[in-house]
Amino acid sequence: MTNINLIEAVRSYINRMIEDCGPTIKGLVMDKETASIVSMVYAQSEILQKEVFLFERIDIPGQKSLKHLTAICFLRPTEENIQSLVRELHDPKYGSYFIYFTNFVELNDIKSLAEADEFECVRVVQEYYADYLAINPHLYSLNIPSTYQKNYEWNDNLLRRTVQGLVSVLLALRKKSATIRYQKSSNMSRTLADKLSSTLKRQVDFTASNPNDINQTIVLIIDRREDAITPLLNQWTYQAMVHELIGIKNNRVSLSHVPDITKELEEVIMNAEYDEFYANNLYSNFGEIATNIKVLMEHFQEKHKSQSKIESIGDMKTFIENYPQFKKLSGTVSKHVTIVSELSRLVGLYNLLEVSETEQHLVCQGDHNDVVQKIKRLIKNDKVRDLDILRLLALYALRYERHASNELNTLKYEAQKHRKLPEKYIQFIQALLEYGGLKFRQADLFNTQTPMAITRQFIRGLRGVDNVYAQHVPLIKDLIDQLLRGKLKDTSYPNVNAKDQVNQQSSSQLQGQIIKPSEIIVYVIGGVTYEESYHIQQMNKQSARIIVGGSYMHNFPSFIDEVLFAAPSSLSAASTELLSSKRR
Amino acid sequence: MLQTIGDTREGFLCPQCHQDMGNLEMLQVHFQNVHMKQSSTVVKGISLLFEFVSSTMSNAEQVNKLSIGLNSKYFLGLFSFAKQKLKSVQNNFQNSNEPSKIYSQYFSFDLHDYHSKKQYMGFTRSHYTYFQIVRKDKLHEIYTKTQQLLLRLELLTNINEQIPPNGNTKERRKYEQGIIPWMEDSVVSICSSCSASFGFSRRKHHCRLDGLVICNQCSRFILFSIARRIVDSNTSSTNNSFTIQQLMNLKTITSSTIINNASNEDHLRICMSCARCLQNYYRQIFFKNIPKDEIFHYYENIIQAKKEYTQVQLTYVAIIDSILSGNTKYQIKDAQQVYRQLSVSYEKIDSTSKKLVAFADKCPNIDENDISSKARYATLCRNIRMYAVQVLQNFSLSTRRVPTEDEIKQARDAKQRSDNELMGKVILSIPGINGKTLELSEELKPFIQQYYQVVQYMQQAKLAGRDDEVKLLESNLEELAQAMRVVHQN
Repeated sequence: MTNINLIEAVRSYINRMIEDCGPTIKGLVMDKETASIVSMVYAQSEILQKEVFLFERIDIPGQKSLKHLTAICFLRPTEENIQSLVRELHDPKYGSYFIYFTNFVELNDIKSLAEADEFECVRVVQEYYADYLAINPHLYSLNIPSTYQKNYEWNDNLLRRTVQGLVSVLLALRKKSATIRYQKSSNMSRTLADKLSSTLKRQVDFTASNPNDINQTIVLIIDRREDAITPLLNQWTYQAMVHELIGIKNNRVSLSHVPDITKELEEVIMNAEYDEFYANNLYSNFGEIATNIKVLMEHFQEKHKSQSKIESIGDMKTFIENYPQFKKLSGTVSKHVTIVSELSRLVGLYNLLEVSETEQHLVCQGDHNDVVQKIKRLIKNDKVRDLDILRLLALYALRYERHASNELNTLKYEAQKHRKLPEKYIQFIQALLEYGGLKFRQADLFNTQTPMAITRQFIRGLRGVDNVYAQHVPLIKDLIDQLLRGKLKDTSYPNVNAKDQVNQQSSSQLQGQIIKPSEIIVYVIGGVTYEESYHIQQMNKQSARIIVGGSYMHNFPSFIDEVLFAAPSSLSAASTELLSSKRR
Repeated sequence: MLQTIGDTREGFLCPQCHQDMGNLEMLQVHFQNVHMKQSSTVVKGISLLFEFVSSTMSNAEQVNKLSIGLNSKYFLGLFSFAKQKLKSVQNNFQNSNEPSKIYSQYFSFDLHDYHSKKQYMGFTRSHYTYFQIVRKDKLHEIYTKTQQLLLRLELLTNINEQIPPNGNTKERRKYEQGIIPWMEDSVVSICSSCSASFGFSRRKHHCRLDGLVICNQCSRFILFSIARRIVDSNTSSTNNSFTIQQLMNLKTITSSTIINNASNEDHLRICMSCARCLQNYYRQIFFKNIPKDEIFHYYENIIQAKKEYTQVQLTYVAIIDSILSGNTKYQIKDAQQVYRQLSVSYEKIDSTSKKLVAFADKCPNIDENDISSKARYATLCRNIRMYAVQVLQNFSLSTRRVPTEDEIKQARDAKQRSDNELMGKVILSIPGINGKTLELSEELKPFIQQYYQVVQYMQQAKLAGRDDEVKLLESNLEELAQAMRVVHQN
């Protein structure tokens, strides 16, 4: 349907690199980050078929020269990489170099490279803007686990990295310019929006666009602090659930902790590009997956039966012919069966259904006394994990921050009485209130403040809750809906260029027309979640053109770390000590 | 329609005429009778509406739960609000034919992009032009300096032809200074390389290539024999492969001490920067002449065999297709012969890539202790083997077996049958011939066969768009029909 696909964008860059080198033995030289970028969109076996036989890291020096090898250097334009390349060119390991940078390179750096190339090995120096991790066609991440510095400010390096990431998303999708809107209440999002806008303007080659261009791309920059709830919730769609309960890192899932796991399943790759079952079930809920995996199993067993029946030479031949597919299928089956059964084991073990129902109730309906009773009951339930109690306490803290009869302290006391909550957890609640509490937050996350919001909540109730475990709708979806309907307030989410284009902008605004965007690119400072990805995907299924991404793909544990890391130093010194010891 | 809040109604309203039908069944009946015939597109809408209504009802409990939690003052006002919203939701359902595209209205599309569907590669930018300019300047600079040094080196190593080796040192010095003037000792107090000041223990020396004053520690020494080889490799003389071969065996061309070998060979004292320049020049020669590693030859063989296979496969597939469609153009032994060719290429890929795996363990030409290089070499070999295995797998999947005699017989029989059937049809279509009488006239058979073939040719010609041929064949057919009629009447 849509022709904006983040994965395809990176793949086509990589394809072009490989094609341009011609049919020789090639080595792909990467840095740590580009290695992840490539691995997200290409399986090694597939790249092997394109005669790329070596995968090397630029930061590992000193090896015998193989002059007839061709190097494809796919690197971020960092200072270290430039230096490594200069060293490499002084003493080349390869016979020729095709150099591709993922982002803008300073002319000075080009000069140092050119002067180092005494052997005349360099054939190509290009910028190919694949500077983000493409997770799904509509989902990207910059893989920055902690964006916030103390007091919620940018660090220069991370700001630069983020601007580069966003610029590359735009350029990879062939967008020269964009209307940038940002969350006004967040300094960080304003800084980022300004920097992005000025960077785009400075690169004259690309920004020379027609101002009357009707195809406007809107970049919407928001701060995770505006919606600290979404990362707190348990998830029930496949991808989100795996990340929440087991953890996905660059499409890899470690199953080493699963009881009785076989060696080859200790780490599995979950890539929707190469795994049909996964692709079809990324957004299925837990119930659907159980059904689908049964079908998959039956299909497999049928195959297996026909495979194991070898009576004649003919059978043998068909067996060999079908064996690769069969092997692939059996790999898929054992992987997903393992994961799904592990998920259902954890759901039962930790009583997650009840926990999740309480979470959703707390967020979406929330009768205070009822909620308090439920949490108290769960605290006393030994099956429930400390981590899930923390979710509930954190949600409670945000939801009833200014409630007349706030019982947070009682609940904390209860929790500590019944279980040994780690110190870190108690600090997290405090840090979270700093992070995303009412002091900072503008959005009406719980739909309790305005009649309009209450109505919206009510309408949702009327539409029917087809799944009590998935009632929550992330703020991001509301914001996008408002944006699309022209109802996103300029006062809260101003346009970064508004100052420059006062005339143009105000005239169109006066006429009350909404400029239809060709697509929307969302960036969430402080990370995005698979729940949000799921909701955007649902919108895209209905012909929306939205791309979403953030500094990191968060689950609850990684979110705890980020929030604690960002906590102002005024919070007890012990917390920082605790953290620093952990981070080291 | 229902725009104002005052006009809000509820119940089982017909979405078309807004009559309240009382209950679900009545509404359904009403809708089927009155509106169904009008438009089928509305059906989707109504069925969705039914779902909507029923889900609303089933969630009455949910609504109640919500209402308890809410302030009751809000609630009253709210309810009518909600009802109004409900209406608008209902209207939405009626109006949109394809509810699954509800967001498309909010986006503008570049129609061109939208239809082509294929995503173009993102933007790129090349820096190679600038890179080449800078590199050219740099290389020119290096080249000039190197050439200058090489020229001096050539002259300096010619000294023995000018002045006998055992001759006057003063004269030799004079010769050297005639090539490059030496810097005056008296004006220099520190080494131009390490900046240490000269004194009793640190004597002054001169670099023979640029005349700078340096200390002993900063001196390098180059043997005449090596210097000559380097100079020779520069001059594009006819046979310098031997010289280069000799050079390739060296690790370094200068040394930091005077080598007192038996021949007591002549040498030149040079400074470090000149030594570096010569060393770089030497490395260039070295780099240009690195022999191709064996694995590349093997790899080329694999690629060659792969090409052969792909080519032969085309022929093979054509033969098999022809045989299996019952044609007699090819015999089974043709297929077998081509298949043998395929096997040869297949075998070649397999065995060559297996040899590479053996290389992975041996790692020839690599220093024993260079573990990382060995690992890299081994990976390369194994990956090429893996590539070859993938290629072979694809080949064996895409290549059908040679059909058995039985299969061929079946195919031919099937073709015979279908040919006969078709012929039967064709006969009926021949103008002027009565199909029923056909069996009687044995002499007509060859005509009919001919006729059938021409019809087939004509079909092929039509498909290929060869109009002239079609016309020709048509007239052919007519003649045939004519002839047949004559035979038939007789």
